[in-house]
Amino acid sequence: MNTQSSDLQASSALLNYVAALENKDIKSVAPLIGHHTLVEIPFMRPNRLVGQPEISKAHADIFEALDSIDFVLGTPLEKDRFAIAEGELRVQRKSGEEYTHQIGIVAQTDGEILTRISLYADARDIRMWSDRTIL
Amino acid sequence: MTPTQAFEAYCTAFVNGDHIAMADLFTEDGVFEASSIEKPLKGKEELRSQLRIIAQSSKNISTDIRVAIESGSTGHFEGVYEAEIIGTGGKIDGSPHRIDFKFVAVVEMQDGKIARLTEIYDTRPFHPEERQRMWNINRRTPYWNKTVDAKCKEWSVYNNMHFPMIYSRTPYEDYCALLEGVTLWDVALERQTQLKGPDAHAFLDYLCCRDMSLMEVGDCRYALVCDENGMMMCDPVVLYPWKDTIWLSHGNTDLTLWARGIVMGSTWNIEVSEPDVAPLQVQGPFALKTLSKICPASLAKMKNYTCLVTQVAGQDCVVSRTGWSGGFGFEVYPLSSDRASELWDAIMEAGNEFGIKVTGPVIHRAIERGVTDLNYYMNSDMNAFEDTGGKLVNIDKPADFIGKQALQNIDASGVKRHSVGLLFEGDVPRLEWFWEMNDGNDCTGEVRWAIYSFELGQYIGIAVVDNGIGIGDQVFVSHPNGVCRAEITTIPFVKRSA
Repeated sequence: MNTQSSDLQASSALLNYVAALENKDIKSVAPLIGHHTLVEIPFMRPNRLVGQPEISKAHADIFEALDSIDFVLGTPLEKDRFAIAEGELRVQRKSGEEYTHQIGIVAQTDGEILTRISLYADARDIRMWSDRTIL
Repeated sequence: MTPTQAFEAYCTAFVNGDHIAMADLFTEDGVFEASSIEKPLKGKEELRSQLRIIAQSSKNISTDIRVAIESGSTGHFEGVYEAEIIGTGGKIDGSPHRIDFKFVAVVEMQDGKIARLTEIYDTRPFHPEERQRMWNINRRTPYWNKTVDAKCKEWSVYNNMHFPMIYSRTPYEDYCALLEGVTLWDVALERQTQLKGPDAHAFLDYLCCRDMSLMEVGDCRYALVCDENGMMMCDPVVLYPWKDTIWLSHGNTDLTLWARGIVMGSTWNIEVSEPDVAPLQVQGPFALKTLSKICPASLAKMKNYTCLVTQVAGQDCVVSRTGWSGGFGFEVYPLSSDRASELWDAIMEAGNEFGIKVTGPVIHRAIERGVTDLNYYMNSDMNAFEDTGGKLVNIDKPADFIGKQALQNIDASGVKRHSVGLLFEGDVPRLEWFWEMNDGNDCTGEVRWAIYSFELGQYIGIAVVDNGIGIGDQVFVSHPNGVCRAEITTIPFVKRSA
């Protein structure tokens, strides 16, 4: 892992976001999100969510649909404002189904704010985490 | 080589379709895994063979690495991949089916080579969001659940049954599975018209315009069935598994009703029925090794177009050396569908070591090999001479047969159309209904098949045309996306695989 002190923000933001998801804590997500933040989640429709209203709404739906969210991530690699990690995502829906996904996750930051978080996973044949389209 | 250099080289080789260069970037036991492949590829041999199929499934490929981060022997990348899938015929609006996605890739290096390359992306952009929904008007095959589990996405209707056609791979992947490996197809919709009784053989000869009188138990024949006007109804594969029992394994026609109607009230001493027999096709060069593991019969000694009664996976079956692939393979006809799932699982397990894949009919290969017919149906107004050039019409055979007088009259007055191959210029869409064509003058025809040929690298077709159109002529074909030129050629388009 690249440990230059000026490059730590992106991986920290990535891990903070992951922790907020695992804790299903909408209040912890909010401080990471700016007005123009892009969140890409293949399990949402649309899978590109922009700005606080869409992102908050989407995460409220995610936390409503999922009983548990657990990440098992390798150490993120970081450079400039970017961090990338790979690992597994295990989710259990409130309806009982459990899924394990191989994932990649990319964070891009500007200061303390996430400008982009992109979750990579194959969502084929998987019911979306929200039945509605986030508008 | 650093992880970034290695991944850039990999992307460049991919864009160039150079699978050898791609595989050479890996260590001897290097591993490649990606969201759209079923299991990781390991070792240079598997990497070479499978990366070739992956790379050559698409065209106009581009990659863009947007973020590259490395630390020691590990690299993490984010990028974009864009390509067009070859051979689908494109979308209804004329645009190509595309494989466009963003990805994360992880590269782990060892001694300057890639020890592991993992690509993670969402495959939904290039697959239907869900499988086609069905209605209960048509019958399911007994393998329905298995085909759904195998990710069938698109069905047709055939003999009032759902016909699994397209699974979640590119056409070239299915094509390679058939030519280089082994494939399992659910063809339970090929229904058997069973003729049983002392007159079974004679009645078969009466139904078919080909001379069937020399058939013996254990034989199979490809035959044509016409109506009383000599017009094509279907082209069954006839199996003679037992004395006094004959199956016409037929296409998309109510052949059993036709035969029963003829027998009803007649003096023919037979029963006509549709038994509970749901065949599977096991096709490809490893079909023999696959079936031999679960079948005690000497399948290797079977000649083309023969059948025998045996057991497969402990179930009573008829096995024939037939199929719709234009290559090597078998059809397995279980004598009951009560244990259909067990039979399916046993074949899949037997073929696992050969990489067996569940596919629909590989139309690309069937058309290349010219194994198909002209796609006729009841009232399609096509006589038996037009379909095969008369090769399967024995108008002088001693026995009477349905349509004999009509076909003799057609022969005497001169057949007016014939079957030809087409080499299209440029891309054409998927053929959803027949296309009109002409030679720019008075001669016309009808395109009844059109598909991309992977061996020839262009779209090909089969048409019935006026006799005034001959080999080498240029014609104009009107399809839903416009008009294109095509050259008339012979069928088959390619030779049989070694």
